[in-house]
Amino acid sequence: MSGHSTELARLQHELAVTRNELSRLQAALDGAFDAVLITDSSGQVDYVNSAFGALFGHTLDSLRKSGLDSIHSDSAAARSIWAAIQRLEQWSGKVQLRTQAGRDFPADLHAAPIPSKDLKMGGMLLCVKDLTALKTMERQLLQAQKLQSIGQLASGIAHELNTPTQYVGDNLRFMDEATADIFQLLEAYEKLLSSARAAGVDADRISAVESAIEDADVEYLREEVPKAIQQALEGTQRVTTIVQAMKEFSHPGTGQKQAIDLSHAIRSTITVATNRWKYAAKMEVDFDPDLPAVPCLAGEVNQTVLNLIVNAADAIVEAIPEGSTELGLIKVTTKHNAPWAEIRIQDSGPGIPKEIQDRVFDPFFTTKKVGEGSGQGLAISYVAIVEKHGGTLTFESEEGQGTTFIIRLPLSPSEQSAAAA
Amino acid sequence: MKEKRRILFVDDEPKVLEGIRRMLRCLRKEWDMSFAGGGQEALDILADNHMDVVVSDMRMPGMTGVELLTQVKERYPTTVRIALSGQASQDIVLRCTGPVHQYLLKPTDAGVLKSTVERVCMLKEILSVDRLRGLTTQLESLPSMPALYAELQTQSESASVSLETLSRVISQDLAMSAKVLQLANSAFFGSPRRVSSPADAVAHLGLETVKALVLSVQVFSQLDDNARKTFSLDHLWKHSLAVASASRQIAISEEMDQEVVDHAFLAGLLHDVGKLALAVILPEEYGSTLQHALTQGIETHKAETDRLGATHAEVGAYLLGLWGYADPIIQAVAYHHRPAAAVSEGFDALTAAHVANALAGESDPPSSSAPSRIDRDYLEQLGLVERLEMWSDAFSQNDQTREAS
Repeated sequence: MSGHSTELARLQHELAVTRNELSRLQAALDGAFDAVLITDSSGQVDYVNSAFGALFGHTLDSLRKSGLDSIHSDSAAARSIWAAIQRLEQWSGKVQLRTQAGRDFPADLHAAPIPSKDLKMGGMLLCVKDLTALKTMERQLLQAQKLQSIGQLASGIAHELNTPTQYVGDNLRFMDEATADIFQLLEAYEKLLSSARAAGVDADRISAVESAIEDADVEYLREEVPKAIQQALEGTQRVTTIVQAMKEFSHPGTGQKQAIDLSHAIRSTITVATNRWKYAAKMEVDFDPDLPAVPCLAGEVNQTVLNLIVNAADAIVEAIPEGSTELGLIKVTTKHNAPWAEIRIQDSGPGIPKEIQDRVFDPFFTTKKVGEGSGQGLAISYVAIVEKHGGTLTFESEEGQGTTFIIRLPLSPSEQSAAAA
Repeated sequence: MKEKRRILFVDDEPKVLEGIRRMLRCLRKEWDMSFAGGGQEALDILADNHMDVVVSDMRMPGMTGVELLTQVKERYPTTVRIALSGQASQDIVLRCTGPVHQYLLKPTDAGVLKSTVERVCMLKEILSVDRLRGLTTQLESLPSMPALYAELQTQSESASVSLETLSRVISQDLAMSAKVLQLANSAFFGSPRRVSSPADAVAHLGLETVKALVLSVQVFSQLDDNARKTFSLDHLWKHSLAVASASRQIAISEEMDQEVVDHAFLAGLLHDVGKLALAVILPEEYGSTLQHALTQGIETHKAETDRLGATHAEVGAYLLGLWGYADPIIQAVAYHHRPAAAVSEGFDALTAAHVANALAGESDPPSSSAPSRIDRDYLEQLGLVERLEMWSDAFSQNDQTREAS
């Protein structure tokens, strides 16, 4: 009896030790930073750690119900992973995974077979690292670099355009004055001609002059030459405005906030983006004359306004039936709404469907076709306005009625630093 | 017949020069124009010909516009220096803030070019004493109070300095205020913006630009010891502030629109800027002039006219004109002692600055010379004489609040 009881006590002790170790292991897994999942040999999920639950929004039960494949947005990748595990091989790579709510995200995935006692495949261990933040940062960096080089190019081009624009304008101005003088002189000659005609001098010469006047179509020239010059001058004025807008828009950020005339900056941005909205919508602006200068990172705010205008135009195009010449409406307003400077960008597009409204600021979320949008625009804008300025970026949208995006920037620097702290 | 203006245009692009020549042909009776394809050619022309104004491109091969205009400044003091540039590089722009009086961006509208040149030429009529005009035209910066100058230097060198700190220092100094207002109102750093206070100007320029102006370009300077003996910057500053705020108050009480109110404030703030200029360009002579006013018990501007041939009002207006300040401000500064001599159509910034200056003079400590007097005839002519009592009340209230704070 005593032998049995010592044996029992030993076993009990061993069990306690093993249990203790198991719970330590589980606690370690649970505390792990990466998401961890374990299956049995049939692929049935046995265990998920809390990082997994947090990342995917799954519980063990919900995952069992929907099946392991449901975490993959690419079923081919899921199959090749499972095939590797069957061969008792490890698998590592970058994949697109899907949360329970249906959000796709990029991840680093490592899968390893768990060998059974008889060295067969006894299950699978999956470790997942979420790459969303990293990818977002990479994309944003790339985007920022791209914008910076575009900005440098733009201001270089602007500089190159300034010199020819100067002398084209000067020469046109000269031609305008000179032709006025010439036409005046011509008038004097015409009077001389009629006196000569009346006096009957040199009939041959008079008829030569008369036919030259007719050939040259002097009446037409008198009408059209000044108009032609005026329109050319207007054209150079337009070029000047566009170049100026381009320079202001691509203003190299110093990384420091600067008080700017927001309405003026928005006007430049609208000019720069003209090509993106003028085939989709009419543009209406209403700027508050009492808006004080706004301390901000001009480049970032310009970029945000540009994104929102382009989005507004794209939304409108979507709602216009193909082949229609009908135009939508984009309305940009500024308002002094103490303690904020408020910008509203309103479109007459189809509105944002309720079910995706809480995802519009997610990085990589896009409703545009592949190749049309990176899904970064609004996410970057959100970072620019909310994190860098302590402002807010929100929207009001009703399906069928259009959408209004609202940017609020703090007017006093103390609020900004409070937000940044 | 009026003497022709003599203008020299410098640009390395011949088509720009030809374009300008053709475009300004309509002024051939009023302007005598010369053209140079580079810095050396410009200096050669200047060696034989006096020029009223040089308009130069900035980026040129060989001698740059900054180098050319710096030489012009040293050799031909009365010649006004204007930049006409398509150059957007911050670095070049910063370096030309000293030698360049005004900055025009290419492409410049014909009208703007004409009026800019015409306006600086007209300034000659405000300050007709050649010696003073030459010295003022050479002046790159006005002297600041040494303590504030030192603080601005130290603060700018600190990596963690905020725009608010720099703005606070600059807004306490007349010379610094005058300079930032000039730069923010000009095309030096992007499109000009109508700024209405030194703090606005600093905010518009931005932290990096202000730091660069302080440290690398050194657009600010301090009053040297010599001048300090005869001249109280501190008193001048207090007086300028009092006049500025009274002048604004008066414009507001006349229900003027915002632009006139801003001009009244700035005219008040800057009305004595010429004293600063004189203290730098003629330290000893000006010191003895002030002494003369004090011992004789006469108004400062009378002593200045006796000794120098012109007053601080004219010197200040001339300098602000060179720097491209708006006409109403120049007029108010130039005539703040004798408003009746100006062409006027009713209440304006000049009226406000004149009255504010006289009212402030009465409440100044009697350390300086005789206070300025209100020109009642002038107010009578404008039909404003009965407003005087109200302005005076507004001023004394204003004065009390200022002292209480």
